[in-house]
Amino acid sequence: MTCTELEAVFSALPSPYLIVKADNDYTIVASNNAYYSATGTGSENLLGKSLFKAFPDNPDEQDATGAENLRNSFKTVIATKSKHEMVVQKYDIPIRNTDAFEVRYWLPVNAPVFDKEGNVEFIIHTVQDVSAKIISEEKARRDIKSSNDRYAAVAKATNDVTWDWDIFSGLLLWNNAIEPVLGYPNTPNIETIDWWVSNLHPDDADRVHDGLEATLNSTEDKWSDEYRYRCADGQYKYIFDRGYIIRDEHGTPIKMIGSMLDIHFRRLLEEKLASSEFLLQEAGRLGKLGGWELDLVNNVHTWSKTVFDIYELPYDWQIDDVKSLSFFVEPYRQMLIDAVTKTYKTGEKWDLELLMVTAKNNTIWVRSRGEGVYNSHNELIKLRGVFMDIDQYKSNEVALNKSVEVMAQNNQQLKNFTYILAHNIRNHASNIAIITSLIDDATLDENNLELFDKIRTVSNGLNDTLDDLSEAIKIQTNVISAEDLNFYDVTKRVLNIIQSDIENSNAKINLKFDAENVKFPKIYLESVIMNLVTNAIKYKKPGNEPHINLCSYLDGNSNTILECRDNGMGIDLKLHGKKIFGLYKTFHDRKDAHGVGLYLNKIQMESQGGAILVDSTPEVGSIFKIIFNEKD
Amino acid sequence: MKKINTLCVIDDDAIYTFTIKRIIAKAEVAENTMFFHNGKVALDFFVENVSLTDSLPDLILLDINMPVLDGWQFMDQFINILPQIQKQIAIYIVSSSNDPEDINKARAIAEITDFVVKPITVQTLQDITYQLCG
Repeated sequence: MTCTELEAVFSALPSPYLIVKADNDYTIVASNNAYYSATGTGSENLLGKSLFKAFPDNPDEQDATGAENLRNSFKTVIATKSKHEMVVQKYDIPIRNTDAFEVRYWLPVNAPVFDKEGNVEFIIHTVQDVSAKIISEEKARRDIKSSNDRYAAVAKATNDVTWDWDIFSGLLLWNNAIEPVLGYPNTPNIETIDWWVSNLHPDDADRVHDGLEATLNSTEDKWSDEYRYRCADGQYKYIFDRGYIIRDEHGTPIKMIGSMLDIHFRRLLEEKLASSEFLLQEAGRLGKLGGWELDLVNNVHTWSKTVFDIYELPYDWQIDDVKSLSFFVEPYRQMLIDAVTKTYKTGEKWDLELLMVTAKNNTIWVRSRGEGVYNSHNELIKLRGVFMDIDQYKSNEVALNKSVEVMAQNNQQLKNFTYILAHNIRNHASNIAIITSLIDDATLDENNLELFDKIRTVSNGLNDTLDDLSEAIKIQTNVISAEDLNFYDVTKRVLNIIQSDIENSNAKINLKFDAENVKFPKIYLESVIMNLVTNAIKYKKPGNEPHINLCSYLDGNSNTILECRDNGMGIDLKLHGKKIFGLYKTFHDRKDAHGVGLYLNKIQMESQGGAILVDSTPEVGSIFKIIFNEKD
Repeated sequence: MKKINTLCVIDDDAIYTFTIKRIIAKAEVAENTMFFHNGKVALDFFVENVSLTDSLPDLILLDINMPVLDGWQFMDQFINILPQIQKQIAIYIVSSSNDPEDINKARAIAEITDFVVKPITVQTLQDITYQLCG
């Protein structure tokens, strides 16, 4: 090949070549086209120039060593007279027609060209531009580092204890979060899977272990579980553990990485919430009180279990407006529809007691309360309320109302009876009395006269009876107001009226009123004292002078008591005890015994909330005790 | 004793009417008597004869319980025509009722002189006559 031909070959070589003189300046003597295009230069910039002047270090990079390294390599070639391969060099090249530099990485090789004496005359310098490869590798390195940093930061931020388990060796590596979270220092003695297993809560260990094993034996690549884990201080914490399984090409697990999340606080809250919810549900069930909600935006109905229970519907029943209304009986159904319509229009709440027939055909009373829920634009978005089975209460109330009604009816009938007694019967009785008064005794024969006398007696008796009865009714139906009374005043007035009876019987009456005053209706007190004293005289022991002691005092409950003791014939309480205050009960064979007085006294006392009691021994005497109730 | 000119009984009870006729006769208290068997019949009479002062009674013995128009209803309407009557007419309620409600009701009506519980006797009738005529 001729010299020219060789020159052409050199110019066309595909890799960049440069030939420098082995002098101190390393003057460029030749360069091929590939070198020009790789470095973006031309022969006019390079030939005859010193290499290091043509390619100076990038002045923006203070610690650039490219030029220095190249110079050292040249020196090595000259000294050793052999080829020198350099490591990858960062050697930025100037961008043409600007002051800027372009980042470039090179893999240079320098080889000697000898003269006739065997000294190095030229150095062939060739470079491979590895910029693209190096830049992408650097970027990958940076990416990995930043993702590692990020991962560590996330782990720190979330309190995640991350772990890396080599399944073959059983080695377990932790991140440093294990110390703040579980209290264990990150030392080699916690670096086995057995250590991890040994700290699982005994109640959770089997389940967690079995679950993990099953996941490893499957084709799954994800595992998670919740368990209690023993911390360094011996306390157990709730942990949510998640792992990712790496398998080889046969599906055998070789590695698992994951993180333990401290969910202790959340879990405690959940448990508390669950127990509150349980209590609420239980209370609702026992109280037969349920809650419901209708989300008008999404048209979603929600009923608590108890609402289904009250309807006696299965829990999976599809809630339907029209169908759920159909359980109510008219007119209650319409009442409910009207109330709900009103809530839609005006927002007014409803609270209704309604009668319904449940799915199992039981008729029950329920109470429905409801209200609208509005969003910030004042639009109705929800209806919600409570639903309560009030059948027991309502039935009682209805029964009570009925019995009150019946009582009122009875009372009215009694009043009517009283009226009949006062008007109609008395009318007939007075007619008989007046007719008997018109009969001329003189015209009757002896036989008729005797019979007529009987009729007159019967007629008088009938009128007296009616008078007594209406007197008793008066006490029960009329309200008489109490006044402040002095026992001495009232008693003396009464004794004045019956003075002749007292004188005729030689009765000795002794008064001792320690409690001097009482608040009571005057005519009742007069009637009571009159009755007690006249009875004591009337039922004296034959041949005895009656001794009557009237006294008053306060008992242990601060009630005023009036007592009347006599030395009369007494009453056999074993025989008559229950009847003594009954109407028309007489216990002595006496013509003037009516059996009305004590009965009247009893209802007089009871009408004022008081009472009358008796203690008596036949042939010894009687003690009547009047208890006043001044509290109401 | 002076007698009442005309004594009027308004009562539906036939037996009472029978006996009161005898009692009036026995007590010798009235020159004339008139009887009505209920308040309506009596009221019609008063309305018709409101200006015939001589034919009107001086004393009325009025029952409470009567059909058609009872004693109270009679009083309500009688009071309305009273201003047209140029005569003093004494009215006594005579009833078998001793119901305090009835008695109080009678006392509350100014035009009623008194309340007498049946049976009315010769003595009662004479006492009333004495009070009216002296």
